[in-house]
Formats: sequence, structure tokens, C-alpha cells
Amino acid sequence: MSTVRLSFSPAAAHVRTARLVGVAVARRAGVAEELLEEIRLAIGEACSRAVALHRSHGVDDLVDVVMEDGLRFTVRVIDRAGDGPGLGPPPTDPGLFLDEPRSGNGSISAPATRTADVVQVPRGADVGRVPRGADVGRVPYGADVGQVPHGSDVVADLGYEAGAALAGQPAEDPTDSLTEEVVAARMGLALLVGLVDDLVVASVADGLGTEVSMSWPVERRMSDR
Amino acid sequence: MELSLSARTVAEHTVLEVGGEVDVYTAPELRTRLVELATAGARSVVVDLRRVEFLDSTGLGVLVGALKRLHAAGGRLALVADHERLLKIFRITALDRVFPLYASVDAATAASGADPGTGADLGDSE
Repeated sequence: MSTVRLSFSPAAAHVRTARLVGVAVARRAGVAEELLEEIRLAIGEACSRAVALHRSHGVDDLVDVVMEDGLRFTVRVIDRAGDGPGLGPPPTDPGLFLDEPRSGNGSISAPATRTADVVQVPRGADVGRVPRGADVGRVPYGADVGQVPHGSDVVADLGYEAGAALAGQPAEDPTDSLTEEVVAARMGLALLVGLVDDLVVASVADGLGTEVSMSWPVERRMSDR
Repeated sequence: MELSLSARTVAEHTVLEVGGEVDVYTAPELRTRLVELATAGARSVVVDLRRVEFLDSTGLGVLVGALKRLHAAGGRLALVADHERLLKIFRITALDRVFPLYASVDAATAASGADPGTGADLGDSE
């Protein structure tokens, strides 16, 4: 087993570097070629999430990426955006933003939901709080399938997503309530959940930050290691 | 590869060809261009993503923002994508039901007369 560690200042420009390194290490670890694209995207999303969290918390600490090739190729992306004092109350439910819409959505029907073996930690913008003491649990999410009602106006669809299914916010004013950053945060988590079979998002040991862990199978071994 | 943006006019449509990587670093540039196009009066915008090598959630957020702005102004936004790599991203996020997605610019512009929601209507409405 070998390890590659990468640490970078929480700047958007470095996320691409992390992606490039991640794919290079994955390739060398013997991950199947057809998985590299989703690894690239997943590492990018995890790192973007970390950068957004650091920014929203005003944290300049480095984001850590640890890549290990063992029985599987494992990537851990660790942020240091802790839930320190003065940051406001924690979220009522870490999975809320991907949950079903609340009441008040009129005719929009409830989306299909499924469960995932992850703790989904809100990232960025207004949701960058890490649930204290969270380990691994099952939370519903509906981001990958069926959360957009069919047949209604596209703007209404967007409003639905904006106000409820993705934002987890009351939908009184759905079309105006969601910034692009929040949309991106929701989509980022949807992509992580959709791409990674064993995604785990958990608080780090000291509670100051979160770790996104994901892994992929290794199908062949490089002969020169 | 860095982001590349190139806009042209096709009949009453504005076609923005995007190339390279759209990510957390480059997406603001895409947003700026889309805002400029709308401010300049574009009401039917076709974003051609066929030369995009990488698209992340930040890019999706920018596209959603552009869609909302155009709809608010009575306009439309369509996307052109033909690569499975990108189409998968839209499927995972369910945005394939929000954006009209076409395989070619011709198809996107030919659909201009239709309701803006046509591309997103999967035909199983209530």
C-alpha cells in the first residue's frame, strides 16, 4: 500500500490540481480506465466542497487530500471548517436539504427518495455547518432520481428544486431563494452521492472539520511497485 | 485546458460555444459571459457544451442561474451535449429534466418555436 498526500490552500484554482493528481494516482494504483472520469469528478466535487466550507467559515487552513492504494483506491478529502463559536446554530437535520419538500408546495407531489449510507453534510453558503457527533447514518435524499415533478412548467420545476427538494428551505419564494452557489452545493452532493458507492462524510476526530471518504476498486496492479 | 467561450448568432438565437473545463475556478467567467449576453438582449440562448472536457457542480449552478434569468425575462436557454460523460452528470442531478438538452445546435435552434419547457417535458405529465 502506498500513500500520496496533497495539501492546498482553500482556493478554487487548486481544485483542478487536486483532480489531476487524483486521477494520476488512481491510474497508477490500477483503477480501471473507465472509472477515472468519475474519480476526477468526485475528487473535484469533494475538494470544491472543502474550499467552499473554508471560505464560508473564513478558514485559511489547508485542505488535505489523502490518496491510498490498497485493496481499493481510497481518497479522503479533509476540511478544517469547524463548527466554532459564533457560527450560529447547527442545522436541525444534516440531510434536510435533500429531503422531500415541506408543506406549502401546492400541487407538487413528493419525490421519490432513497437512502444512502452516508451522512450528508451541508456545505458552503448558508449550510456550512458540520453536525456535531455525526458518524455514519442513513439519511434520505432525492437528488438523483425523481425529485423534479414532470409535466409542469420548467420554472416551476426549478422553483421546486430551489425552494424545497434541494435547498431544504421553505418554498414561499422558491425561484428567488436559491443562489447559484447553493444550487452548486446541492448538485455537488448529488454528484458525490450518485458517483461514489461508499461515500462517507463524517466529522473529523477533533470535530473541527469533516472528512469525505470514497473508494474505488483496483483491478490491476502496476508491476513496477 | 482552460475555459474557452465563443458566441455567435444563428437566426434569432445566440449560440455560446463552451470548451475546456468548467469548474469552481472557471465558472465565474462563464457566468459573466451569460449575464452579458442576456444584458445585450439575447432571449434565446443555446449553450453548446460539446467541447467541454469537464463540468462540475459549480458550472451546473451557473447554467441554472442563467436559465432562471432568461426565463424571468421571457427567454429560453437550451443546452447542447452529446457526450455520455456530460449527459450522466445531468442525469445524476436530475437537471436533464430541467434543461432542454439537444444533441446538436441545429436541433436546439429548430426547437425554438416550441414551448421553452418542451425539452424538459418527459411526456408523463399529470
